[in-house]
Amino acid sequence: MVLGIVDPVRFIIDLLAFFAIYSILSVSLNLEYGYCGIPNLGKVLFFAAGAFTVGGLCSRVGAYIFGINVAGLDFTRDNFAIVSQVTSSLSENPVTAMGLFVFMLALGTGIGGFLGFVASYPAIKLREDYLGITLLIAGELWRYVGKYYDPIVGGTLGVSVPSPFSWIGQTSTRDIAVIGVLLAFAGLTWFSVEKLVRAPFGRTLRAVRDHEEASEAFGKNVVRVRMITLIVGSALAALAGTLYAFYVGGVIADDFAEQKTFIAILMVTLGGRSNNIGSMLGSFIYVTTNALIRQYKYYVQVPFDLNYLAVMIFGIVLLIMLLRRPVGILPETPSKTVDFRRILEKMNIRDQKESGS
Amino acid sequence: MLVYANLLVLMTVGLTFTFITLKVPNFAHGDFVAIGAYVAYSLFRVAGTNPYQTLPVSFLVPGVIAMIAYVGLFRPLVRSGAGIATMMVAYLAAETVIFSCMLIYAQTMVLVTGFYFLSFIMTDVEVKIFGYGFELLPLASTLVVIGFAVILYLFLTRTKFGTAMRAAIENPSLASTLGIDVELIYAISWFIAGGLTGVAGGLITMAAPSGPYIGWVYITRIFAGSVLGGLSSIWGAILGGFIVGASEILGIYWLTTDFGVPTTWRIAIPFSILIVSLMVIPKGLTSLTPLRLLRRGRPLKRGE
Repeated sequence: MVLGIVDPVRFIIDLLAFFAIYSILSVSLNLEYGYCGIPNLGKVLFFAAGAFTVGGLCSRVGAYIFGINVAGLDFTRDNFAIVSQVTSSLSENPVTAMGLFVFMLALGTGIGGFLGFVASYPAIKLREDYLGITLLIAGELWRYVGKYYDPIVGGTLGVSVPSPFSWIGQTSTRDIAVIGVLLAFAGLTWFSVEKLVRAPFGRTLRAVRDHEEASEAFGKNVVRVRMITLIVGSALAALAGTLYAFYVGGVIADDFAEQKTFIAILMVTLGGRSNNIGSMLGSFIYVTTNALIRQYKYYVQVPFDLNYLAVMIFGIVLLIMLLRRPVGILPETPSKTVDFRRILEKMNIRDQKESGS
Repeated sequence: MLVYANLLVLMTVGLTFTFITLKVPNFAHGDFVAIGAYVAYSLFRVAGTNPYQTLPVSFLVPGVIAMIAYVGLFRPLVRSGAGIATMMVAYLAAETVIFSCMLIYAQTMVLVTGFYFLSFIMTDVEVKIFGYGFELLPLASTLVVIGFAVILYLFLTRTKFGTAMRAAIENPSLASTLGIDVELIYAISWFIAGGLTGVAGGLITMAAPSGPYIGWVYITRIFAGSVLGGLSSIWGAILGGFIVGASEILGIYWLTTDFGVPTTWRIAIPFSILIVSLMVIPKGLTSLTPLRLLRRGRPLKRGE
């Protein structure tokens, strides 16, 4: 027990894992909201898409691969029996386990991207608020589907997810491996989104955000650009969702309420719109604060759940940020271009070569 | 069916009153329903009144909160040059703040008073006419809607302030050159918006289980109704709210009895109405030619 925290190692592991997952989510939202100006109010839909894919399919695919006899077992009622059988089989077959893990990630990401297309299709040509309304209601509908249609993720009971890392025997080694994988995915996401927004496509995004008519006049297909952004952003959010489901080890539909969207928007706005480092900073601040509240809330005596107060304060912080410092903690930086002297040097070298030959 | 549709009309008209001021739909609008419901329920628990007696309070409290939110928060944001995206985020943040306040209030009240505050339903007043007892709410909600529609109509067309209000909404800069206090009018619009929605919330406690979460339950229906009605038209909102409310109840009744669909799927009906109206008539019902006469205000294109 350190500083009132019962299990400090577990605390730090959880902190890093949720930081990795939420930073993927916030970077993906930053691509949509920060760079393209689409406030995706249905972000939770795509996060949930990834998680539902893992929750609904991972144990089924696992059972199919290992030939586990599930006849007569109900996916929801006997979920624990199925999942524990799959997990024990996975622990004996590391290669299959990793294959299943990667397959589920790819599938979840694909489904997320596809849903990004479907959910935004009706309103993509209209103003942002219509799009926001559509995505918001689609997210709500999606949660209803998960909650009241049991075969997907067990309805109100939820389902467990088999652990693909169970073949690593030692708990500490396994934790380090899991954290490594999660952080690697977060880093990879950050790197690829950063590359994407520094590329010509990123400049198009900012042009669309800053002046739609002007970018349209320069021949940019605004609707198409938005569509691509939403598909990429949704796929990344779904990736975060699959990792979340694997890390938490279970999926329950009510976990994916609109509050997750709010959290994502909070992380992006707090850290800095249109700044991927800022988004990661925002998610770090949120995850740390949330973890600390979770640890310390039992020391405070109030007649209500302290989490609600925390959410309220987060909301107020977000509003104050919007009023006082809308750019966030780390504001947008101008695109890095190649240093002018280097361009000159290159030109000189080329000139010398040409004159030499 | 009638109750639900009537109350949705009130909420949708409320949303329209906020939309015509800032031109961005208020995502925190559903929470005014929850506030209205809690006002009615708290007064019932504390003073033993029924929601009909406390209707004025259900109008005032959310109305004042909406006005404060506009003057203290949304107006400064718009003045500081916030775009649509920022406004939407601000609405979402405001929604979260109000929602958490409601949860904290409800949980505290459970401990303080010992009554259920997290989920409740109130019994309707029964009236006896010619020996037949019937519930008051279908009649009362209809009367409230018609009453408010008549009052609003008279207010907007017959009074000087109402005319000024329409002018300020149609063309704020021109209206302000004529000496109309546009800011005051917008603040009053928000007051009316919060009030109408709060009244709907106060009455809905007798028709459906309520709790802090009902803001989210109704915001989906409100948006479907508003988009169907054309967002910026008050008369379109009345039409849209009624259609969404009626078709949700009748539709799920039909689906349940004939196809055995569970009633939990009723949210799919407003959602499909929203999708269809976005794809077929994105400017809303009032943009259709036969309904042009009802049209007030201009539908917005993207980028406006």
